[in-house]
Amino acid sequence: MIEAVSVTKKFGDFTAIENLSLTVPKGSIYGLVGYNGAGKTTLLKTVAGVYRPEGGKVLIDGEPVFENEKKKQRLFYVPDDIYFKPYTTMRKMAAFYKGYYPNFSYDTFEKVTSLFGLDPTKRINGFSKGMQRQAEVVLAMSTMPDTLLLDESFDGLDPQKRTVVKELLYDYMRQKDVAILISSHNLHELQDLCDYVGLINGKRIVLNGSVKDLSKGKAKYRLVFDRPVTEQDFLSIPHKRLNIDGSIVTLMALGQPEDAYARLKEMSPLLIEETVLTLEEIFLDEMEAEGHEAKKIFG
Amino acid sequence: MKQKRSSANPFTHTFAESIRSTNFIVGLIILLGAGFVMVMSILYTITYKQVITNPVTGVQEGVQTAKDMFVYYLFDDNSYAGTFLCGALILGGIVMGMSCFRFITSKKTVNVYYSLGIKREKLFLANYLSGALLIVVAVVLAVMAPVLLNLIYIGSSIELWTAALYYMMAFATVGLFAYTVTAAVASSVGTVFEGGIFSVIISFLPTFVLSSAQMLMDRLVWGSPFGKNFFERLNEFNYDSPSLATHFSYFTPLTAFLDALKGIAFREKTVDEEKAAEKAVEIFELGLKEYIAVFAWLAVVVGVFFLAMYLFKRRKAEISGFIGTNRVLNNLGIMVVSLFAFSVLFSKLPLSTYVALAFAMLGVIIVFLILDAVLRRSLREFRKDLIFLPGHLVVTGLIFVIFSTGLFGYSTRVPEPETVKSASVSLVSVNGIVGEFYSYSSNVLANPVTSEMLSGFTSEKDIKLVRELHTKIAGLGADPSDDMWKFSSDADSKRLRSRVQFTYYLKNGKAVRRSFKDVTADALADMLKIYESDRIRQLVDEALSPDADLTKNEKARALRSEGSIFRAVPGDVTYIARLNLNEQQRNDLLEALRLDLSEQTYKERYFPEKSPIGLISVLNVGEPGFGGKPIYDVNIPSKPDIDIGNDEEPEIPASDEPWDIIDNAPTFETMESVYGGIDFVITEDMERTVKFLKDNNMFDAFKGTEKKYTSVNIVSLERSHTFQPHMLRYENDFSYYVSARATSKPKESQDAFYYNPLDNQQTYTVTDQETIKALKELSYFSYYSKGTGYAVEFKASDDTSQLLYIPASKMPAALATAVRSLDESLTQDFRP
Repeated sequence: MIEAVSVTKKFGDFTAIENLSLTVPKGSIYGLVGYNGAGKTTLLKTVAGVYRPEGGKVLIDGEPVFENEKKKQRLFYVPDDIYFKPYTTMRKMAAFYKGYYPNFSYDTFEKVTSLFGLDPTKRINGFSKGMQRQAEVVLAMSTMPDTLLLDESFDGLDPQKRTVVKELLYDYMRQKDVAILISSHNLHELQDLCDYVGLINGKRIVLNGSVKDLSKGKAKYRLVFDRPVTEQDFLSIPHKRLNIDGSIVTLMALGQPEDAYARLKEMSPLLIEETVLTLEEIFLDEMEAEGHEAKKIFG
Repeated sequence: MKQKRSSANPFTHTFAESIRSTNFIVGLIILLGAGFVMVMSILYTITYKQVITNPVTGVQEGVQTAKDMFVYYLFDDNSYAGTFLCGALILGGIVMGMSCFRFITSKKTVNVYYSLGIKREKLFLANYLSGALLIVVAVVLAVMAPVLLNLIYIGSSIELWTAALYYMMAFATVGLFAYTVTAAVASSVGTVFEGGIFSVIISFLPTFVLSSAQMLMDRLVWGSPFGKNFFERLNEFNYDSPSLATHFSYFTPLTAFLDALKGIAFREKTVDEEKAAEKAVEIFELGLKEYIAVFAWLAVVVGVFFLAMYLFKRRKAEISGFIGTNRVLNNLGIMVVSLFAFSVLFSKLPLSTYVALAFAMLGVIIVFLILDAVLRRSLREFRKDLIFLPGHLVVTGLIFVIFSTGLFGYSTRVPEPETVKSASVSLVSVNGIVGEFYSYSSNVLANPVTSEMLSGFTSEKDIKLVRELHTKIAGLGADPSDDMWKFSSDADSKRLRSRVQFTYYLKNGKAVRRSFKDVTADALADMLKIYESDRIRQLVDEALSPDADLTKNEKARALRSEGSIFRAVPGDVTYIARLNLNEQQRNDLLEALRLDLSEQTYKERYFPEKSPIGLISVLNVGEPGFGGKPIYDVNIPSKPDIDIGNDEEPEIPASDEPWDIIDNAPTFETMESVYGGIDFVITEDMERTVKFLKDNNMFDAFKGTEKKYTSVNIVSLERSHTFQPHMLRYENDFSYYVSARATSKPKESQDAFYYNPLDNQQTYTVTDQETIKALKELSYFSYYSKGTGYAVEFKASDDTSQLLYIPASKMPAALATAVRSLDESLTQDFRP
C-alpha cells in the first residue's frame, strides 16, 4: 500500500505540491490525472524516493520510503523521461537491474519481451520511442515489484500496445496483489484500468476516490423515442447533460439507478440503454459539483 | 524456462558497473599518459650505450651502459616533466571524478539511481571506490613501466623499489586529491560543466592564491623576498630563489612532492670511493618529512571524502541538470578567478598604483559579470546575483589594503642584532678585490654591472651597519609614481633601477630575506658604506696579504703569479703602460695597496675630490703561450679576447725601464676588468701606493699624454639611451659606478671604420678650446654617478677619443643648462 500523507514538495520558492494526501491500496491501480505541470511527476518522484519532501511523508506498507533500501528493492519507477545506458541492449539493462532487484526474473523478462515482439540483443537507442517505452515496461515487470509507479507510460504507444500494457498491468496487479500508481494527463488512457482515480489541481488532490464510488448515484442512458421530445418531458427526472438529437436522447440520470430506470421507462421509449460513464464524464460532473471549471482543467 | 533469481548486492553491483563503464577508459588514459611520459623521459638514457675509446691509442676498450652509470634511473625531470605529470594527474583525477559522478548531474539518470534500492551513502561509496581504484591502479602500472625498464637494463635494487613506491604514493595522492575534490563538487552542483570548472578552481586553489599573493607582494609589499633571485653563492651554481609558491610548496598539490620526486628520480653510481663520499652528501634521501607530506595529503583526501559523502547524501535530486544552483561555489569560483585577474592586471599594468588599481577593479567587475552570466544562464538569476558584486569588490579592496600596509609591517621589520649570526648584502659596485662583474659594450661609459651578494658580515660593527642600511631602505617605502623615467630636479631622491637585497642568517638557523626594488640614488650611494666594513677589509687583506693562502685564494694567486702583468692606465686613458716590477717590488706594491685599501673610505673611493690618478690593472697571463708560468692552476674567469691595441698580435717585449707604454692608442670597452684583470683605482688618498710609485719611478706612468682636442661631445647620463638602466638585461644587474673608455682608429688601416661610443647619440658639442680645457680639468676617470652626470668624449686630432665623466655638481651651469635644453627637446620620458 502506498500512502502519501500531507506531502509538500518545493523547488526553491516554488511549491509544486502542498499538503497532498492519497492512498493506493494493495491490489489496486490508482490513476493520477491532472494537466501538464500540475504536480503528477513531482508526486511520483517523491513516492519513488527520488525527491525528499519538505513536508509530510510517504509510506509504503507503513514504512517511510526515502532511503529505505528494502522497500525500494520492491519498488520500480518508470519515469516519463526514460533512461537507458548509452549503447546498451535490453539484456544489458536486465543485467543492470538484476543487481538491484532481488526478485528480478529472467523468465518474466523473456516472456514479456517476446510478448512485445522486441529484440533484447539490439541496441535500445535504435528503438522507436514507443518501443523504448515497451522496453521500459518489460524491465519494470521483470523486477517483480510490489509497488509500481508509471509516469505517462502510455505516451507513444500505439492503441494495440496500450491494450497489451493495460492487460499486463491488470493481470500483474491481480496476481501479485501489488499497488500500481499511474499518472496521465489523459483520462481516456486510464479508462477501464483504474480502480481509483485522483485529480491534482492547484498543488493538491481535489478529487480522489474509487471509480465505483465516484460513479455512484449516476447512470448514463441512451433513449430512442418514436416521437419528438423536449426538455419539458424530462423535468420530473433528476438528470444532467441532457442531449436531444431528434428522437434520440442521452442523459445522465441522478439518484438510484433503479429509480431512474423506472421513470425513464414510464416515458415509453422505443429503446432504453444504460451505458458506462467515462472517467471524463465522472470527473466533469464532480468538478462542476466542486465548483471547478472543467475547461480550465482539461483545456 | 527456469526462473533465474537474482542475488542482488547493490553495493558490489554498483562498484562493478562503475568499473566496467567509461570510467575504465579514463583510467586507461591516465595509465597510458603517465606511463608514456615516464618511459619517454628515461628511454634514451637507460638504453644508451657509450663506446669507451682509449684517448691515446684510439682502441675501443669497452662499452658503458646505464648499468655502469646508475643504481637506478626512474625518471628524468630536467624539462619539468614532473610538474607536467602532476598537473596532468590533477586533471586526470578531475576527469575521473566527473566520469564517476556524472550520473547525478542528469535528471534522467538521477530518476533511475535515486529510485534504486541502495542508500545514497552506499551509492556514493561504491562509485567513489571504483574511481579511486582505477586511479591507483593506473598510477601503479604507469610507474611500473619505467621500473620494468630498470629491471631489464640496470637491475633490481632496494633503492629502485623505494623510489618507485614513493612515486606511486605521491602520484596516487595527487590524483586522488583532485578526484575527491571533484566528487565533492559534483555532489554540490547540477551540471558537468560547473563540476569541471569548480573542480579545476578548487584543485588549483593554492596555486591561484599563492600566484595572486606573489603578484600583489611584488608590487605592494616593499621588501618582499618572494620570487626574487637572491644571488647568494651558497655554492657556485646555487642561487636561492624562494618564490611564495616554493615557500609553500607543501600546501599545493601540484608542487607538494616535486622536490622529493626530483631528488629520487635517479641515483648515479660512483666507482671512486673518495667521490662517493663527496656525492653522499648531495644524495637526496627520502626522510620522515617526505613521507609525512604524503600522509598529510592523504589525510586531506580522507577529510574531503567525508565532506563529499555528506554533500552527496544531502544533495537534492531536483538540481540535476540545472546550472548555477550552488551560490556558494559560484561566488567562491568567481572570487578566486577575479582575484587572480585583479592581481595580474594590477601587477602587470605599467601605470601608477591608483590608476592600475582602478583598472584592476574594472577587471574584477568584468570577470564577475562574464562568469556569473556563464554560470547562471538566466537573466533573472544574473540580476539577483548583482547584489554580490559589491561584496566581491570590498573583499578585493581589503586584500589590496592588507598588502598595501606591507602585510602590517612584515617586510620592514629588521631582525634584532642579538639574533643575527651573519648577514649578506647586495654589492652596488665593485672594488677590484670584491665582486665579480661584467659590462656592456654598448654603454656610454664603462658601466660594470654586478649581480652578487656578499656574505660573511659577522662582526658587531658590520651587522650594525647592515641593519642601518636596511632600515633606511625599508623606510623609503614603495614608490607609487613613475618619476624614475623622467628628468628629475632632485637627483638624490630619484628612484633608480636597482635591486638591493639583505639576508640575515639567524642564530636559530632561520634566514630572513628582504628584497627592495628601485631604491633612491641616495640610498644606493649609502650602500657603498659596506666597503668600509670589516668583511670587505678582510677580503682585501686575504687577497693582498703576504701571508695569503695561495692555494685557496684565487685573487691572491693571480696577483702573485710569476706571469702576472701589472699595467698602468693614466687618468686620461690615453695609453696603457706596463709596470716592470721585480718580485720585491711586486710584494711592496701589493702591501702598499693592502694598507691603503684597508683604510680608504667609500667617499675617497667613489666620490673623490679629484679624478683618480689612474688604474693599476693586474693581468694574470699564466696560460701557456703567453710567456708566463703559472704557479698554481689558476681558474681565471672568462674574459674577452686579449686585445692589446687595434687587433695586432699581442707582444710583451721585455724592458729595463720602470715602466713603458705597451699601447699608445688603446681601444677598450671596459675599464675595470680591462682585459679581465684585477683592477685597483688609484686615488690621491692612497698615500703609500703613491709613495711606492714615486719611489720606484713609476708615478709618471700615470701622467697621461697631452692631446690636441678638436671637440668635446657631451651627453647627460640621465637621457643617454645606452646608459639607461632599462637597457640592462636583468633587474638584478645594475651599477651606477662609471669609468672611462678609450677608442682609437685601427692601425692596420686608417680608413677602417671604428665605433665611438657617442656616435649614435645626439650630443651637445663644444669646440671652444678654452671650454674644452676647462672640461678636461673637471673630468673624472671614475666616479659613482648616482644616475646623473655627464659622459664627455674628448675627440683628439690623432683619431683617438677618451670618454670621461663629469659629475652633475661640477658641470658649469651654462653648459648644464644647454645640455638639459637639448635633452628636453629630445624626450621627456625615458620609459622603455
